[in-house]
Amino acid sequence: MSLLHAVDEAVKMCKAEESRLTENVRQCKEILRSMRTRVTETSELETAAAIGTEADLLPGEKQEIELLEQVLKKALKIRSTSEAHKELRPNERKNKALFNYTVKEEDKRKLVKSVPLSETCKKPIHQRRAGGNVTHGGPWTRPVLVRKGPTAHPVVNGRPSVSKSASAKISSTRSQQKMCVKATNAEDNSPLVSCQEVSASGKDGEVSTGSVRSKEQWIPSPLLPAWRAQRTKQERLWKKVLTQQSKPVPERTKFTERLRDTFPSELPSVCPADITAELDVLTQRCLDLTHCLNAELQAQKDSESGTFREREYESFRMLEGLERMTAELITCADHRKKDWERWDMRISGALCPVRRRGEWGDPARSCLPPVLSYSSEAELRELESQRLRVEQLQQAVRLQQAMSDSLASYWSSRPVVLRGLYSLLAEGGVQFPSLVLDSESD
Amino acid sequence: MSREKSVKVKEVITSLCKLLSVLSVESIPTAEAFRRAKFNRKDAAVDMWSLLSRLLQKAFALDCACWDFRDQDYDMQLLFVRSALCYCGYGAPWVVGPWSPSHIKEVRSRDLLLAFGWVLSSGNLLDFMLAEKVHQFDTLSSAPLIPQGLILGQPDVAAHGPGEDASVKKHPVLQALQWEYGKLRLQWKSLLSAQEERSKFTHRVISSISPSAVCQPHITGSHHSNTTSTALDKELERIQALNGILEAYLDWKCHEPLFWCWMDSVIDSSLADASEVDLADWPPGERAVTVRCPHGDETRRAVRRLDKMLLRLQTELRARRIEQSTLTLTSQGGRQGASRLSESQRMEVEKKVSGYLEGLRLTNTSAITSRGFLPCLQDPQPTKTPHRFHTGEPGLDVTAGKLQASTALDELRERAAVLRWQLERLRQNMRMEMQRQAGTMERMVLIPPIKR
Repeated sequence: MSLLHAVDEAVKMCKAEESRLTENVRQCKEILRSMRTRVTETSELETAAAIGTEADLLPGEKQEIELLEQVLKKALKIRSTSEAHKELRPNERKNKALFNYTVKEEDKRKLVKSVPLSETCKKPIHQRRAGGNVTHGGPWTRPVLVRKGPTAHPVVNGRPSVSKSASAKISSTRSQQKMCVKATNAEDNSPLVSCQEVSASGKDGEVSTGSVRSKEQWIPSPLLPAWRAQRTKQERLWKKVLTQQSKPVPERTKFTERLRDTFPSELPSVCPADITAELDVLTQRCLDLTHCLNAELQAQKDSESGTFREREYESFRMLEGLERMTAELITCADHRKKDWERWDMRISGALCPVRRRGEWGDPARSCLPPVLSYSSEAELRELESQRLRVEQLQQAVRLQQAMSDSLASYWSSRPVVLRGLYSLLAEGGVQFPSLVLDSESD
Repeated sequence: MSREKSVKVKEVITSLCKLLSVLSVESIPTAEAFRRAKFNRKDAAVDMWSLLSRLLQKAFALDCACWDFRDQDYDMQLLFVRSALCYCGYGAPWVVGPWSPSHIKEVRSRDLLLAFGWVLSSGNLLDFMLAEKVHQFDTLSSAPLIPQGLILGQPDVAAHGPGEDASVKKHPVLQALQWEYGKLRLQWKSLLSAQEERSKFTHRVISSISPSAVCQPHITGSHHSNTTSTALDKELERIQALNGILEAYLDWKCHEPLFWCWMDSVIDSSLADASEVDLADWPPGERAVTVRCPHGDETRRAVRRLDKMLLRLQTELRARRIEQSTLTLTSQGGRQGASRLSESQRMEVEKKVSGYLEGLRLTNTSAITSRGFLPCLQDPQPTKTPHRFHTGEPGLDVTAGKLQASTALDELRERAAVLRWQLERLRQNMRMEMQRQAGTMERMVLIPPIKR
């Protein structure tokens, strides 16, 4: 592949990786943001105005109550059927089984939420209806929405007490982690119960920004405990997976061996995909050694470091080492060549070259990501950036090798070309040399 | 007894099918189809064929442009399946020939079943697919980077035609390369900064997993309930889906030994039938070579290339050695040879050299973090005695599935140092060579940039 193409591919890979990271950052931000929700408590409420608009309110509320009842019925129905579905038969083999399961879970959750919602919503409304004729009296409290976390057994407690006392504070009792009070407060003048999941209209979220009297509190989202539980479960399961994976399965090896025995005997035990992969590695190592040798020879010509004797000894040792490594490489390459030839005799080039999509070839090496325990944020940051830097350096070395091989013929006396060449090959494109005309005027 | 056994087998195969389906392999046959395939029923062949084909598509990528996966061409599909099976070492007659089936119908279901078993048993394919899913579903996992292709020696700078005059095109080509290289450097910078940000947020999310964490006051929550539930909801769904996958995997692991025992019995039945059925399937002596891939010789060329390079390297090294030894011999009288070095100096040099060479060896192995990892915040007060591997092998840590950040960091730092040394050496080499060549030019002096 040509050099320009290779650099272009590298740029594309970087871009893809970066977009993946930014997407990840966005997701994390969203998750963090959604961990908390805002609650506004209302304090004093208008009395006359509130009661005055009650009559207007009731028809609207009636509609919503009807909607609520519909949802309640649907919830009960689905819950009863999903209970039956819960014992998913292990023969459930549909490809969408998982999808269905998660969808049902989600539905169940949502409806579980709206069940107590409607139940508790009803109460204050009924109470209000009952007490609606009381035109005078203290201010009353807004009915609040009670949302539940995704628990299997909705505990309906801590209903907001609709007190008609003067100090109309919404008392919300919270059970351990299961309840969350989420009051959506419209403007003081137009009280409206908005059931967020029922009504499509986005009347919720209307926070009275102008209300000086409302206090705001941040409370954890109801999903948070569930998420934490699932996360801890995942950690536990993953540790189990890692331990299970490391245990050998003798029946499997037996099967592999037996099957291998049925193949023609001249076929080597290494498979072609592994041979080609190893050939790549060997080629890269050979390139490394070649370039190292060139560098060493170059360094020999101008010995600046250390004393002459030391330098000489160093280069002597280096060359010795390089020769040793080359000999090793040659033996390895020979083995692989022989293996390949044995395969080639059979296939004789009739098959397409394929490559494994990952590193799953060796049953002895695990390809599951390990659990990395780190102690501080700085450590994690440094680790991940070092990882990237190693990748970058590796790429830079390979590109440098390829460039020095192919640009050798580009030498020209034109200054522009020369400067460009020098900067690419010798300075990594960062700095440029200067060319000075040195003409002596006679 | 056998009834019980057959029920068990069905259970085992079903658990495998479930695992495959959560790993997004399509068109999974029923457990019954597997059983029928063992007995070579014709109808099971189609099912097994599509399963095998889909699985191999997930496992392998084509190096040549012969075939697109969306193609419905059965001949090409057959070629792909045979290539993939051969490349992972499956040596059955219908794969490696000499008599190759010309049509997929000629392959029997039992053979397909055995091939399927081979693909699963000879490597860690299921683990690999599981790892892919983990990286896909878990927001916090750190996925391995896409591996980079190899740039082999003496490439063209740009894809030139053979007849073009290279000297004319030098400048724009070089300029293009400079531009691209600059783009690459910039891209890496932004990638590194994106990574920093991601680490920061990953850490924040991780630290809020533990129940003792308090939601930081400076993070603004959401006002609108609609958007509140979506992000955490989605995340919850994803984690639940992932947990489902992990549970399916663990379930399979429990049943795995039985599955392989059953597959053993499939081999038995195939061996029993082998004597009768085998050669009758395709006409002897007729080499049904239908489709050939033009890129099939790629590896042969690669082998030749490697041979050439190695030979050149070896000759060069030998020549240098001889030259050096003659040099020291002739200069024995004039200069003091290497033997006049003091012991400590010699040791120092040797240490340096072995460090360099080790580094060279290191760069071609995969790093400790090459599979990615799942970060996990360590408990600041470990309750049990710390099982730290101070002098332990990093390999030991990793095989147990646990990795300490400090170990990984050490290894990465070492690698980075080696790579920097390598890069600097290459560049220094170039610098000196170009300066030397520039010195031969008349009327121009090359002044290298100042080292910053």
